[in-house]
Amino acid sequence: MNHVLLIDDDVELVGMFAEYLEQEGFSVTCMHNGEDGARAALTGGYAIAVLDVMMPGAGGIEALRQIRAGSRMPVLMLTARGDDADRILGLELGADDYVAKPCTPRELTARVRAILRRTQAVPESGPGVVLSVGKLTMLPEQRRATWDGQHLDLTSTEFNLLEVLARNAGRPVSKNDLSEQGLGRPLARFDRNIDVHLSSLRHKLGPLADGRSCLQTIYRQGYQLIKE
Amino acid sequence: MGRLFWKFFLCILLAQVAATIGVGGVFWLRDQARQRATPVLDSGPPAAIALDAAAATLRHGGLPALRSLLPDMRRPQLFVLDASRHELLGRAVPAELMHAVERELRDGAQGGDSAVWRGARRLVGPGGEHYIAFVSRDFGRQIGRVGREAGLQDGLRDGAGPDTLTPGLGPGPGPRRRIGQSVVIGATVLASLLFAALLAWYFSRPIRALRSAFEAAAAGDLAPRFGPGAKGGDELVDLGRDFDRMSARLRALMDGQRRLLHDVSHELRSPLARMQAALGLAHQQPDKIGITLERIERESNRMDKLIGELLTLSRLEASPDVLRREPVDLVELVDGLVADARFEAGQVRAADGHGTALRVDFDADDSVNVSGDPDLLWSALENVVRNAARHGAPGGVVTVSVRAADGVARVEVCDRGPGIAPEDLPAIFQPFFRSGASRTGVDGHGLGLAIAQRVVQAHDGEIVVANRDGGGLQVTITLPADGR
Repeated sequence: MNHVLLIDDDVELVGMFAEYLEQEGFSVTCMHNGEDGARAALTGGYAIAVLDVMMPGAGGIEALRQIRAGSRMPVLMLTARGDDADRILGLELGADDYVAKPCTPRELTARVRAILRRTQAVPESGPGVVLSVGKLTMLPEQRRATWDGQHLDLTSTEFNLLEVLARNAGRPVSKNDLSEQGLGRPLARFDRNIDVHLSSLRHKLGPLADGRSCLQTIYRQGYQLIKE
Repeated sequence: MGRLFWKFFLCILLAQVAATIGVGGVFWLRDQARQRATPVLDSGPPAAIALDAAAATLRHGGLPALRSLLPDMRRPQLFVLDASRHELLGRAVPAELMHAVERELRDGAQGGDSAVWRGARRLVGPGGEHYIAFVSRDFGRQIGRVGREAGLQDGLRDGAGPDTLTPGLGPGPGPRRRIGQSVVIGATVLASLLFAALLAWYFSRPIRALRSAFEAAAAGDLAPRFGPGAKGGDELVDLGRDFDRMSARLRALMDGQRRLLHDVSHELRSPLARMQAALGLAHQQPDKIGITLERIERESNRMDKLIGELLTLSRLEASPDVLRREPVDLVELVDGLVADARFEAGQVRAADGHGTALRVDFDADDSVNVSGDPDLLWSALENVVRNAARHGAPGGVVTVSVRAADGVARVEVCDRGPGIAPEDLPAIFQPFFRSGASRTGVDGHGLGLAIAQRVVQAHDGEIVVANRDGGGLQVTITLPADGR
């Protein structure tokens, strides 16, 4: 399962990326506009979508919205270097990670591999392990999570980050650890990725009995899942 | 309150004080003059009647009757002096009045006609004693009027007639009068201070508002501050409106520059991204280095072209008037462009192997001369013709015509391509604008028409883009033709 869907309007660039990825052992399909890309992504035949959010108009962002409306497949965004607005909007809409364009194909491949590795990873804790913290219950093997018996609809990155926090429940986890264990890469400077994902997780997890969020920000240390 | 306020304030105050002193001085002088030459002796008909009555009383009733008449004569007031110059009722007669009486009597003696309008008259009693009788206007009511007089002086500033000001004959201003005067002066000064402050505030307020607007603009805040309200208004309000207009224009220019910079960085990034991808491939597959190098060369050429176009554009925008002016034959120029376009179309056909060749029709007068910069005109027309050849390819035919009529050279370039969505037409000359259909797949940066427009405008010409009936786009360029 290493079929990559490339969605970008720059035909030549996509062609070269496809050539590179194929040499690296992936199978690649290219789409050159947001609509076709979203439709292809929703067929479910791809392990990951690489999506250029800078496509003209609202093409890229709109495609991401459509993909997230119907699928939790990993999505890697291509964004402009230095353009925070698109990046944060994309992460909030549920993209798993981003690569700033221009990027080398090697960088792109590494990022694709990291996302695929952690989404397809076989949990080292063995089968049948259940993580349970308060009202939260996680089944890493099935990649399922529930809150107070209710099924949680998490993207793969959100699931990974929550899993890291759940394994360390009651202890603060630094952003760098979260990035390395959850995203499979070290934290970059000015990286808002973790914050955006955690903010999204906070919305999805319900509040504690006393109304607080169960995800606490520990100033200068990172995040902590409160253990009850 | 800034310095300007105090300057205004002092100036206005000074002007007011000067005016007050001037007007006050004039009235004071007039008052003085009037006091000196006061016609206190009444010589009107009522006075004559009173004197006749006094003479008759004296003749028939003697001194006692006259004495009893005097207190009853209040208006006009009658005075009678005996031979020793004592008033019969013992009333004091001011020296000025005495002088006036004597002068009057002397004049009367010289003129000889004592019967007509004289303020003073010699009377002869039954016993032969001599008396002098005269009538004084208002004398004796002075004391009672002092209080009102202050009020009258005040009223005078309101423009009341000078007749109401009756000269004072009393023994100098009394203490009440002095208090009244100082109250009036105090009130006047206070009012003048108030008005000066009001005026100064009125003038300095809009200037201070302008100043804060300038400071905000200097700090980068170009939001409108004075608003379109206050329709009428004076020059200062107009100035505020002008400032708003200026800052709006600046804001638009700055936004345009920012957008341009954003677009430029985006456009430079695309070829860079492709170059990086090509380099990555070269690393991965060293045996395909030839293809990779070709790609990199192509991308660097694109970047070079983009930067060249950007420089042309910025030069045109910086100084649209500084142009080389040479006679240029548009027919010759366009003919060369059409030949290029035909050649390229032939190459594309050879490369694709398709049968759908693009036909470029050229239709022109013998020669159409304009004066301008040949390089700029070349690039402007090249952009337009290339655009038509590129986007009009599906239509199969591009028509180019060059005509001169009525002192105007007209170049028309028509294609049968997809045309442009009507809502996009106004934006078509903006740098980096590309309409939806041409955004993908077609080489180009969206600078061509922007450059063409700047060039044509710099040559005092006009460029119009319109969709054709039956599909396609028509670009019409009009330039002032050379006179010869």
